[in-house]
Formats: sequence, C-alpha cells, structure tokens
Amino acid sequence: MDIFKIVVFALPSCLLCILLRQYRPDYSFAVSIVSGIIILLYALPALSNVFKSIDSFVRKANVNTVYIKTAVKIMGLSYITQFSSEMCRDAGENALASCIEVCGKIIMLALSLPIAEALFKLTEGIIP
Amino acid sequence: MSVDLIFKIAAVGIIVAVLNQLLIKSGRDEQAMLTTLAGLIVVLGVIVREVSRLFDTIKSVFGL
Repeated sequence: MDIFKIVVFALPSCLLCILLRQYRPDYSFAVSIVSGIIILLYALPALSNVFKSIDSFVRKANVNTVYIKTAVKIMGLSYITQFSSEMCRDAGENALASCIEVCGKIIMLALSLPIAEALFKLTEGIIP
Repeated sequence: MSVDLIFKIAAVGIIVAVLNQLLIKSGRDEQAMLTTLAGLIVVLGVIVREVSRLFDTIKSVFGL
C-alpha cells in the first residue's frame, strides 16, 4: 500500500484515456473506469484492518456497536455514491451524476434514522 | 495492480478504431458497425467483471 505504485499506475492510464479520446471516446471512458476500479481494489483492503481495530476499541469501551456499524455503512455508501457520480460526471453526464447523488443521500438519511431516534429518546429522558 | 487490463482495453479500442476506418474506406459500413459492437461487448465484459469485484470488496470491507 504505497502511494508511488498508485501514481505510477494512474498516470499512464490517464495518458491512455487522452490518447483514446480522439479516436474512440467510449473506450477512453472504459479505460478510466477500469483504472479507477483497479486502484480502489488495491487500496480498499487496507481499510478492513482499520475497522477491525476500531471494532475492538469499541467493544472494550462497550459502546453500543449498532451506531458504529451504521456509521461504517454510511461511509461505504458515500464512497460508492461519490465514485460512481464522479465517473458519470467524467463522461459528461451531469444529470445522471446528480441523480445518483440524490439517491445516495436518501439512502444515507434512511440509514441514519434509528440513530436520530435514539438521540431523541435520550434527550426526552433528560428534559422532565 | 494488474496494469495489463488497462492496456488490453486500450488495445481493443485502437484495433477497433483502425478496423473501423479500414472497413469504412473499403465501403463495407455494416461490418464496421459490427466490429465496433463486438469490441464494445468485449470491453463491457471486462468492465462488468471489474465492477463486480469492486462491489464485492466494498461489501466485505464496509459490511454493507
């Protein structure tokens, strides 16, 4: 997981995208998608042991793990939404990109509802 | 970090572009369209495989 490998990989694929853009724009979009995915596949597994250590801290401090799981889910969700909407914007489809972003926000809102509910229950208990 | 995938897609793109020009110049426009479609299908197959690998990784990392 070193940054140099990522940069050495990303620059030639950008060059290939530009090269292909003059002749076949659809293939240049394909090259940019696949190179983005390959870089992510290289970088993402490092996140899983970060989450494992966070999980062990949380379990020691016996905080309710439902909230942490939802937070991690929302993070993953925002990651996919951002990646796909940027890909669509890269291809020139701004309407599609904003459509994906709106749907992502709706799903995140739906996911974070139980946490807000628990917060309100907590505050109700405090205020007599 | 398999770089060869990127070069494979670029190679397919360039070959289809050249073939396209060749076929159009020699008057066979239908074959030109067919080769473009064939190349696109091959590339789409690669993209779908990579996208599914990415989504499986994200599911396993983020527990979605």
